[in-house]
Amino acid sequence: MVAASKHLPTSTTRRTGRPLWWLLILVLALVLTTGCRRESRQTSDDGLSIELMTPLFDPEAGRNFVDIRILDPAGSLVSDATLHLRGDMTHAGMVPVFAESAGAQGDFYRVPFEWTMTGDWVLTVDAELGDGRQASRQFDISVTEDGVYCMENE
Amino acid sequence: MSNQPTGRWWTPVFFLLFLLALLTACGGQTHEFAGAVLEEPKPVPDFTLTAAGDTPVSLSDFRGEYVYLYFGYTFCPDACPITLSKLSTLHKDLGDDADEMQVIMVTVDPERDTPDVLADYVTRFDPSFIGLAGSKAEIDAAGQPFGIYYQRSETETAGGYLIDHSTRTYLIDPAGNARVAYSHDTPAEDMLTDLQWLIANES
Repeated sequence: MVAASKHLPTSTTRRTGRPLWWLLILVLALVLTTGCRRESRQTSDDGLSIELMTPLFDPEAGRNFVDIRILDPAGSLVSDATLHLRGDMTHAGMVPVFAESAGAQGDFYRVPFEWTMTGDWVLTVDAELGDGRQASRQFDISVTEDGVYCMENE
Repeated sequence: MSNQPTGRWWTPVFFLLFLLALLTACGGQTHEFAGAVLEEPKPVPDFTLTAAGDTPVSLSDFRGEYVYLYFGYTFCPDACPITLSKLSTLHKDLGDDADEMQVIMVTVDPERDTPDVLADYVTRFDPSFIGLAGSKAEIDAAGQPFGIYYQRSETETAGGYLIDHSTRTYLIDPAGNARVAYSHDTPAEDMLTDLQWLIANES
């Protein structure tokens, strides 16, 4: 009995240690796999999704447009929307930048847009579809001297 | 009883090895490339443009080869001829493996660069090079995955207007995946080293 009592604390410690290991490993695995993905899509309540199309590689400086794709709830491309863009820097006092699409070309909308300063921006995309449905999404953007980066991650 | 300590010791080691494997899968590479490398290769959406003789040519026609994709124009005074000269050097220096690579230049000046004008231009650098033209919408769609930008410059020269444009060269592997983006000032010998490594290790 004495020997058994001496073992009890050790046994208890071991049992609480294992879940901690599992938890740590699961958290690390989640962080690692999430860090490997890069997406920039948001879906609205009505199922419309507005996707900011990020290039395969980090973009070169000098781009003066954004590419946007709109998908309906079935995943089909929507090409009859009118897009209104508004860019706001995250700090106060800066004049917002506005832009409007001139219609889709192929399966995406290329909207001329000038990032007037480096820094953090919030890009708001308002879409009005041909059938009257509307959707609005925001994207966090970082503009550096090297390029424009969408900070959205799923 | 005697097995318990061994089990305790192996459990964390096993999972540390698992984490190491995860880390390797996320960012591991055994060769340091001279350009920007994707963490994991991503497929390039196919496109079809027009080559000399109004021949339709698709990116997917070159599966099985390493494709260097460049967006430029024939009136380009600096970046384009420098890049094409570099790719010509690379092609020659590849020797027996030269058939494993293909250079494609897509025009960003659809007004002036017809398929035949492009063909005449790119083959001056190397007879195997291919030039592709198309409408602005077609070129935009082909360049979209790479974030290609181009716009007519206000500057006029004796040869006409200029175009400000992206100057990277993209390396696409034989499976059609984007692999490396090279800046315009990457030396030809560094690009050659990269390609030789890929051919030796992945072909």
